[in-house]
Amino acid sequence: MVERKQLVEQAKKGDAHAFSLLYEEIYVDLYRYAYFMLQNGPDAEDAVSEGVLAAFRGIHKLRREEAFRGWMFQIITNICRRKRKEYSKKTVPLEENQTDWVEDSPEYLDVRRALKILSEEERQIVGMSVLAGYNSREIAKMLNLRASTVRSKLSRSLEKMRKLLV
Amino acid sequence: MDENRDENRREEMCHRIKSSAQVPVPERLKPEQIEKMLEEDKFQSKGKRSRSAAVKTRRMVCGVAAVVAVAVVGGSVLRTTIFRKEPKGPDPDTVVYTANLGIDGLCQAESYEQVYKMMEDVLQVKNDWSFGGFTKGEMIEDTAIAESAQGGEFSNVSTGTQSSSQEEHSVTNIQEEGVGEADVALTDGRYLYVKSIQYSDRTGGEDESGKKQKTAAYIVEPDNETGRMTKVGQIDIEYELDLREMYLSDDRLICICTDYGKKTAVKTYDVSNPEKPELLGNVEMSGSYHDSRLVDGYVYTFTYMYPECVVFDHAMEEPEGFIPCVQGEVLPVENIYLPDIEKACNYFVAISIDVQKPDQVADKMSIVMDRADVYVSQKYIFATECSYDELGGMTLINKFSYDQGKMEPVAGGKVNGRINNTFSMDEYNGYLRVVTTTDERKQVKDQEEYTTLNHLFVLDENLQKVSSIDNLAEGETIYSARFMGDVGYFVTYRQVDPLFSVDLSDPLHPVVLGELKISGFSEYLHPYGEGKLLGIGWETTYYPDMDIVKRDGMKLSMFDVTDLGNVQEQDKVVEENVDDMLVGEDHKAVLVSARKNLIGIGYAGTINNVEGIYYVTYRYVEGEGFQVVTTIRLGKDVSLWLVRGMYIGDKLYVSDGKQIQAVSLENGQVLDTLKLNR
Repeated sequence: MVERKQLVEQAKKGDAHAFSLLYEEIYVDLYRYAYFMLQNGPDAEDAVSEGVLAAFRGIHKLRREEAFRGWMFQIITNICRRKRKEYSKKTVPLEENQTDWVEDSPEYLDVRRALKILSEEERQIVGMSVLAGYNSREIAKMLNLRASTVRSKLSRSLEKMRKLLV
Repeated sequence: MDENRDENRREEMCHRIKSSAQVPVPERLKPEQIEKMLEEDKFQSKGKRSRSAAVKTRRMVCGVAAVVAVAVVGGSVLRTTIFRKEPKGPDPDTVVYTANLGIDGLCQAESYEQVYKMMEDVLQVKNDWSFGGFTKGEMIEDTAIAESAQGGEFSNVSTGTQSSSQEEHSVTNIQEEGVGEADVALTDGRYLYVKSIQYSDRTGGEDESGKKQKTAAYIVEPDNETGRMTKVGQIDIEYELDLREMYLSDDRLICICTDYGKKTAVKTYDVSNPEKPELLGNVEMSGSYHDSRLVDGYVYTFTYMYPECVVFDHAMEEPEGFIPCVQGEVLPVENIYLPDIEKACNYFVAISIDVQKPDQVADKMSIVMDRADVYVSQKYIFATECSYDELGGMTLINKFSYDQGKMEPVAGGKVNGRINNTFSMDEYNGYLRVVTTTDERKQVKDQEEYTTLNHLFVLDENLQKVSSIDNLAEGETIYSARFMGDVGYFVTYRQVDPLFSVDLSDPLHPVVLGELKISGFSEYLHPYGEGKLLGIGWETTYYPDMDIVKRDGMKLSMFDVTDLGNVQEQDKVVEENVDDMLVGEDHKAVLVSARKNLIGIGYAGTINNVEGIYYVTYRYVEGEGFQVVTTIRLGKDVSLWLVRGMYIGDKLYVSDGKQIQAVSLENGQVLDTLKLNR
């Protein structure tokens, strides 16, 4: 923990190597989370690199050093949210045209199809909980919901998906 | 038992989701690659840091003599003709501008090579990273993307150019009186013209993959006695294009379509016989559609073009690779403008079309600039660009006059801070009034903290600052603004919502008259008859112990603005079941008519445990507050961006892209539903 704090401090001074060490711990999760949210490889890649650059430039705003992971996820969440908003403005859903989902195995295709029945908010809650590993209180704080609401929405979303997959 | 079973099911589902997400991470995102990328960026941020210090000192001076200090800074920038503000790359001397127009801040391009050089120069150092997404610190500010509004209804009636009234009917909610805006659903009092989502496979029916989805304009004739609707005509748009918005002008339906990348098309149809619409003209231009206006029989269409092959060996042999085209022809170099303030690598492209000659382009021009908002007053087009390069942020403004289709450069300039959206600007009696938010750093004990400040600027014809009110509402951000002649209102927000009222009757000495603090914030402001201002936004509760703000639901406020020094929130209603609405992002999504006493909004939310998209209408009764006229549920899987309410007489027609529902405004009953996709 102490080490991470030092890394954040170094990154605040503009040390790219320190930043990349912090990033190394979380980048796989970050990318998969972005992929889950956007359902599209190239866009997820863009979201993460855009987020990294924004984070590096703005790391002086990070007040609690230990919050680095959560902060990165929040940045990526916001970028994904913006990108999804751009999608929704376009009436042709972009994600539908992507075919590079994991090896296209039937199992994953099913999961992917099941995802579509989730609302924007539900998808966010599922992604933040299952892939980013937030608890309901943290999600509640980020989405301005009650923690109990987050919990019920999460279990309802998972149940909705499960029904489609059975 | 049951709980255990549920728990297991959830676990299993989580596991399946996790496994489905085991995608390999692209090479570009590997830590070593990222480090390289940051190393390159560090070069920039070092430069920025030293500049920040300079800016900071300057700001401290501002605190003592604000007006003078900022005016000097602005002036020195604007009058520089050969301009390099700060070295941005390894080779800073590649671009030299010549002040060849004799106006401040803007020059005419002299050759395609010059344009190319500039883009190449920018791209090399900028790497096309955009810095969006998270600049606002507070989480509630992130979820509610701040936008603002000045509705079309000025003191009495909105006069959208598209209104040719046979019977009392709604018009598109526009920003500026007399300056028409396009929309996804229109009515002329006799027909409804709505965008619909279709499928291109004519023989095989609907294709759920979404790939063959396409758009069309439906012409629908409602029987206004019964509310029953009949489809009378249809205009199909080829499926590479998306019908974005429409205008109606003198029996002509103008459909603006885009492929979201390379091309935007303006298609004009004669709809005098709605059963057989006839294509009169099709004009194509480079870029993805951004916005448009219809004024005095001319349609002005604005796109942004992102050149693909700027770093390209044979660029000069194929200028169409990086120069915008209109009707297949590369824009003449003299029609391309370069702001001498900031370099960019994209184009703002504007064309005008005479509705009576819809197969021709009346005028065309382009400014090399990055994407932002376009504000169009009755005389001028203001194309803006936000720059985050400097601490605090900057908004660059390029001003063009327009008249009978002809567009001419007037000036280029800039103000401190970023604007919320086009509604943060207003031109009145030759002065441009702008409200902005700046990002600031301040020293608290040993810590450097991040905060915000808000400002109002008044600029003259040449975009030179003549007055300002600086440093309002520290830590807050502008969420909405509205100017009405000599008066301006704007809402800043962090934990509570101060509604500022400003007297602008003397442009050289604007004065804040009032500051009303209430809970929540308005994302949209709209005058509602004499002495009333309607605010639509969100109710919030602040929990100081946890330092969080919770959004409670959609809020409508009616402000009494008869006494500017003592503005009151007279009535409010909070709808806790609302999760999302777009009024702050798209003013055309709201239906407001004080004359008709009707307010309509589409939202995503839950009623009786049923989640969905709903449309609610209110009336406002003095002394009693807001009253719901009707709430209806819309189709499944519809996009809020397409939800529009229109009225003709006492019937409301709500379109969502998939169907139209006719509703009686007397008793709230749904009278008819017309499917828009076979």
